[in-house]
Amino acid sequence: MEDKLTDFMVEMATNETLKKLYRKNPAKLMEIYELEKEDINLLISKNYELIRKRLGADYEISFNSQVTASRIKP
Amino acid sequence: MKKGSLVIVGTGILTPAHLSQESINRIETADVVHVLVPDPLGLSTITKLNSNIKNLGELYFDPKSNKNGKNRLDGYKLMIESILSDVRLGLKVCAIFYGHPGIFVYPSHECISKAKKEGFDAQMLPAISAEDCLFADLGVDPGDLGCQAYEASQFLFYRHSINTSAMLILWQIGVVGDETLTKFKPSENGMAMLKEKLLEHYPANHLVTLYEASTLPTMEPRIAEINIDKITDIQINAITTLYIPPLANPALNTNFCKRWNVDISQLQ
Repeated sequence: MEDKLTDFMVEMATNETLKKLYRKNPAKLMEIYELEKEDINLLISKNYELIRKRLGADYEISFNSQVTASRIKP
Repeated sequence: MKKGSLVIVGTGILTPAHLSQESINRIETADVVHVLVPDPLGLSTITKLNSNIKNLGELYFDPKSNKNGKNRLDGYKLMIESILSDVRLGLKVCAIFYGHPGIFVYPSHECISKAKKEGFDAQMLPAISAEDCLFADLGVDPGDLGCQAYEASQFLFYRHSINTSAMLILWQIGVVGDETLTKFKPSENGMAMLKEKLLEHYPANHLVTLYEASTLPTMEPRIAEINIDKITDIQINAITTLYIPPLANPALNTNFCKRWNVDISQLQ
């Protein structure tokens, strides 16, 4: 199922005009995009931890390297 | 060359804005796409480009249940096998990692190396890394005085030579001090160890920056300046990077320059 908030974010990521409109009046733009009231309030709160959680982000899986420095053998 | 191929691409830090045209094409034309991306915008974008997705996140080490092995390295090995098993079936495989797929990504390099050894066509495409975002957001140029970059825990545990005349970037502060690869936050003494190590090279009042690239189009990057002796007092997140600016200009090697008739007036 499509998620309106995710779609809105994806579109804004590549649309500078939309970003400018968001900066000018975020609530109005999100209403035009028919986002849920809860999502509008969440984005306006700028609580990015909760926003990421709402979107389903999991930055723990961004750790993808080792600590060991052992590639060059003596 | 055997049938079956592998291309590894990166989403960049803010998807889809950072996804290259070349990467989009390779995702669209793959038989199967293996994905390890933490951000939902990335996953949503990729799913629209190719519906045959395998989520490598399901193979990631889970410390609560010890699912997928005893540490992160075990999880990486499962991912490598998952990707290569599809290559061995003769499929055109695209594997996608967050950021630049070749920077701080163990499984991607291992996959390329193993696939080539087994006689398959394997290639990695470049992408936008967190370091690229850092240079842009902090307005610093690695070409000015040079640049050193280390994984934060490795920086602690090994005797790396530090050049204080060049910038220093420390990655994965979010898990600093954890040699077990089982934690998802700094170890108990991680930040204290880091402070001690930095104070061997820099004065306590040297101003450093905690940096987090913007991962959503509505947010600004986190740029928090703080003295080195205060780094134990500040919030560290999974994606935090530490930027330490150069302390002083490097000394000019006048003897060398004279010997080779270099006009040092151009260098001062």
